[in-house]
Amino acid sequence: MGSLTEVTNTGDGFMATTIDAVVNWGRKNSLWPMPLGLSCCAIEMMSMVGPRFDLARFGAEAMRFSPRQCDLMIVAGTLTWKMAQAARTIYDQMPEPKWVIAMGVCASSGGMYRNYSVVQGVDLLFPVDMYVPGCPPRPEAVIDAVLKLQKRIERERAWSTGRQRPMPANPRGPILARS
Amino acid sequence: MQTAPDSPSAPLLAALEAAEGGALAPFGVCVAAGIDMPLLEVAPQHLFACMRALRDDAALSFEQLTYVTATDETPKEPRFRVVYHLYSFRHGWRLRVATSVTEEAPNVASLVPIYPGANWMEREVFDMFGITFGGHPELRRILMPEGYMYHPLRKEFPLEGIAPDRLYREWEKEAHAEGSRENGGAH
Ligand code: SF4
Repeated sequence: MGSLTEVTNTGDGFMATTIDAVVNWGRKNSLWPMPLGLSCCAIEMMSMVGPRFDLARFGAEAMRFSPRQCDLMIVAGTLTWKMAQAARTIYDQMPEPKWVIAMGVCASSGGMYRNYSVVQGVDLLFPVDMYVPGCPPRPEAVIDAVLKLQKRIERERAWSTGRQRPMPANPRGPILARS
Repeated sequence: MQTAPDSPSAPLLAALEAAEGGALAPFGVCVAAGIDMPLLEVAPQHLFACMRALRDDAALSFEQLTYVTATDETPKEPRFRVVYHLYSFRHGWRLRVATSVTEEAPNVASLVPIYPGANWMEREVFDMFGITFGGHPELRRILMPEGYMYHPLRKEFPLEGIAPDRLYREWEKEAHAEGSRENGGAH
């Protein structure tokens, strides 16, 4: 809590801080992930929450299967266009503020599935904060993404209304390989 | 047909040859030995009756339709080949049946009345190639999203795919409605 300042010279214990610092401190240490486990990466995500890697150390172990209770979407797996509507609906149902981790190369860029059926990166559907490479990424890598995301949350503006990030535009036509 | 008499498909080829003068006579079929299993070519207008004969003729009795698929033979004419794999439980035979359709009229009769299992497989061929099956009870997409405008396994389709425009339009509409709701609430 670097931005909290302890004022001790009055003799009474009180602290001066900003709303942003307090709210963001709460948010970053109690992320509730929405596990969008779509394929093999979901297995690593489960082990990340389990006792060996223990995401609970960073306050983000409360996986909820209702998007309305979540603020961190972990897209773990291969997202197909057939599933795109469902994924987008889940994202839309999560209350603001919300963050997204694209776990694995499939979610980040389509990965080895360079074809018509797989979404070539979930950032075609909603804004993504962290991309974790790997097929699948090790649980430590995803934990690292969570920690980096926590650092980023620390610096965000706490109060805002509506959507905080612009939604991706319609690609209109062929999705060429993006480099 | 030059097949060694001890080849596993020899009895099937003999049965097909006999049927060419009998049950399959009206359909003008053309039989080839094939690499893995015999291949029977038939014109699309005779496909339905020919399939029924293949199933109902006791000497052949292909009771099961294992698979339906298609190939895009661009730039050959006719462009598409619809391929059916049959299996005979009684004899333990496998047979491939193929029919060619043109790009202008890509339709064949649906086999659902003969083999109910053809239902989803024909939907997949329709989804991927845009070949329509006349008489199919519910010919709509099965793998790509509803309202998709392309048939991805056609050769001209780009490798990375085309985003479904309809989904994005719906999302834009929703976002617009959401925006005006929020603005309305502020007054
Ligand atoms: S990145 Fe690899 S492990 Fe993860 S969903 Fe894709 S194929 Fe599976």
